[in-house]
Amino acid sequence: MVFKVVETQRDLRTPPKKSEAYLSDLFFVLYLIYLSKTISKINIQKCIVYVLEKLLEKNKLDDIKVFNLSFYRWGYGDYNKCISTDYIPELLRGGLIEEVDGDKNGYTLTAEAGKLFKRYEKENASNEKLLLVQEIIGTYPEDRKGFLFPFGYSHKRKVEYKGKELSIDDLEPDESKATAYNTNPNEIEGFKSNIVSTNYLLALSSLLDGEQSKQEESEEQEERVKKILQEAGIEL
Amino acid sequence: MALSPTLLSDSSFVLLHGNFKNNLANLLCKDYGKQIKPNLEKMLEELNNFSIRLNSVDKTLNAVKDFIKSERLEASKFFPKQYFNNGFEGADDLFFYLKIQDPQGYWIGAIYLFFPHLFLEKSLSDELRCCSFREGFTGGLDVRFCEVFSITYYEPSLS
Repeated sequence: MVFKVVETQRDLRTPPKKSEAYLSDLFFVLYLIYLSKTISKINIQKCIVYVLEKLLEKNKLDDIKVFNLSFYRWGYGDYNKCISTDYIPELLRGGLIEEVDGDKNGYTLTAEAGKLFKRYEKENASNEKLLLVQEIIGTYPEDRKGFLFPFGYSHKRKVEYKGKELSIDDLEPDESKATAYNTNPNEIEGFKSNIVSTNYLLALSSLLDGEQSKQEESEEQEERVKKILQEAGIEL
Repeated sequence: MALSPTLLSDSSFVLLHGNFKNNLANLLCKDYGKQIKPNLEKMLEELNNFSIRLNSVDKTLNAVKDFIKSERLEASKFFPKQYFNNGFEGADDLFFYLKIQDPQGYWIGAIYLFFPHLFLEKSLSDELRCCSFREGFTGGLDVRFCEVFSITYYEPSLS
């Protein structure tokens, strides 16, 4: 079973509009990094496509919702630029991931994010949907910092286009044609992942805010806060 | 907007942690566009309404438990920083959150809180000392009925 290429009237690089959908995507990228320990930027892209394809093969794509962005043919097989220009910078800004040895192509979770995912994994130890996703990620080739597998896999992957079975690289690069997706690529609002509960998404949101709260409490800080709240007309 | 007197930080009933105020101020400064202030005000209004309902509860342990049930408060996965950093796990299900979201789902927020009574019942004094606002907690009655320790808000910053 292969993905049917879906022609849309939109730019697939646009992230989902709904907050829980957007947070779901960030959560999934983090989970992938958590399981991989260290993973390159290109492997984050290709591994998500790999997960979606395996879910499709197992006929589970309708039951298991993990990721909103659809992928398209780019210069190097499947891709979605939004992951590199939006999701990863957001996670770096929030102090949830860091570059490995200063290498912008390798990422690992920070200790704080790691703690959240340990709890998540422990609490979901019998969640069948998550276990399946975990198993699929586990079969992605181990050398996740390497470049050869993802390129080879993503170039040769088969899709159906206009009734024919083609490889990704047989298609023209086009950011409006979806080559791998978890739901209807025309959908712009997005969905909440069903392998993560809202309280974890909110915890993720809190951690993204967290860097700002690390400042020590001081009189100066108290004054600053008081002033901002007063200016906003909020009396506490 | 002004919060109800029951939420004032010098109230013996509800305590707003410094971290809650810091985060609120930081969110107000964040560049989410024009909508953030009214949305945060909506969240504070919900907190106000919550505190009014809370105010009518007997200050007993059982009443706290019934209240949590009736409000359908869900357990939070985010904890006060010190608690989180110290690796405690004994009180993981004793932190809660009020979820506030716009009907279309374009933004979502939460106000985090806990009830020290529940810690006392389980003799989790170290955990309580660790996340309580002032370090003066002595294991006695020097705690507030409800403590609000953080707030979060999320809206995709779509360019």
